[in-house]
Amino acid sequence: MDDLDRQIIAELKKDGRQSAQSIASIVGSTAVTVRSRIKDLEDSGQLKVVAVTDFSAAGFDILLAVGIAVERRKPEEVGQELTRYEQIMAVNLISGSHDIEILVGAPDLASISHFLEHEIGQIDGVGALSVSVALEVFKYQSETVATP
Amino acid sequence: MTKRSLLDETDLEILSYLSENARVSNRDIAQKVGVAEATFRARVKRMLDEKFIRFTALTREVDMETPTLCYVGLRVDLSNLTEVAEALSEFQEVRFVASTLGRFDIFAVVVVSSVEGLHRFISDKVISIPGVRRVNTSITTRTLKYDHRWGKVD
Repeated sequence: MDDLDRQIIAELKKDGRQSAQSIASIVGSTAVTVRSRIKDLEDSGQLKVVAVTDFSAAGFDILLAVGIAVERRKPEEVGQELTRYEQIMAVNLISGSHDIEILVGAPDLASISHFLEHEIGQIDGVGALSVSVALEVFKYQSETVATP
Repeated sequence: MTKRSLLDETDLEILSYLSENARVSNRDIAQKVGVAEATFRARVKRMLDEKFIRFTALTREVDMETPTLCYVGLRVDLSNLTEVAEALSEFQEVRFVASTLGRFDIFAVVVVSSVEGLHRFISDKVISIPGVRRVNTSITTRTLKYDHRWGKVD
């Protein structure tokens, strides 16, 4: 990845749908070059231009970060089961007193109670949960993908 | 599930395409969704104007040696809660910050270049924020899911 690639990516992060012509005039290149650079970056898996939707506009008024202690089962197996739920936005295996950390979105408190008891609580191996309920979200950005 | 959603079924269908690849032509997506191109454009414009969505670029952390995702839970002086959360949000390493009820006062997600990078981030940047009392960290050993469709748009 060279400087031109990085400049193009910086422009796409600001507005992913701006035209190749508009990017070209900002970075001092041509639309043809910009289009081919974007295509190369996409084809090599280094770039994905996407729409990000505001979690609250989508009806997830409540966000929960839940640490899960796993008992008598591999954390990865439990984690794989958790990835199937649409309302679970992230599943990470972690070091420390809990084995899995998940981010859950929900429309209201009643649905969280139902989700914890009847969905997560039914998964084999799920032990103690340690919950944080977000009061105010200051930052939540998906611009970089941490792991390949 | 989305009973209070500000987006209707057609919006969500449009977004199901745009959240996979936003650089597809208006005509192509309008055709797949089965709406007129003008309708598609008007809906996308409304969602952008209302700050329901934004278009951005996802990239891999190619410049980092071992990109490491870590959780940082803070106990803070509650009178400084907002200031600490805002100060944390300013750091480029920080991907998520919320004030929370429960095990921590502030919960954050950071991406650092290595385990040593986590140490430097905490000791050089976090501890010195006025109001921070205690810092609890946890390192991700494997990511099983990260849904890039969601974020905070403002």
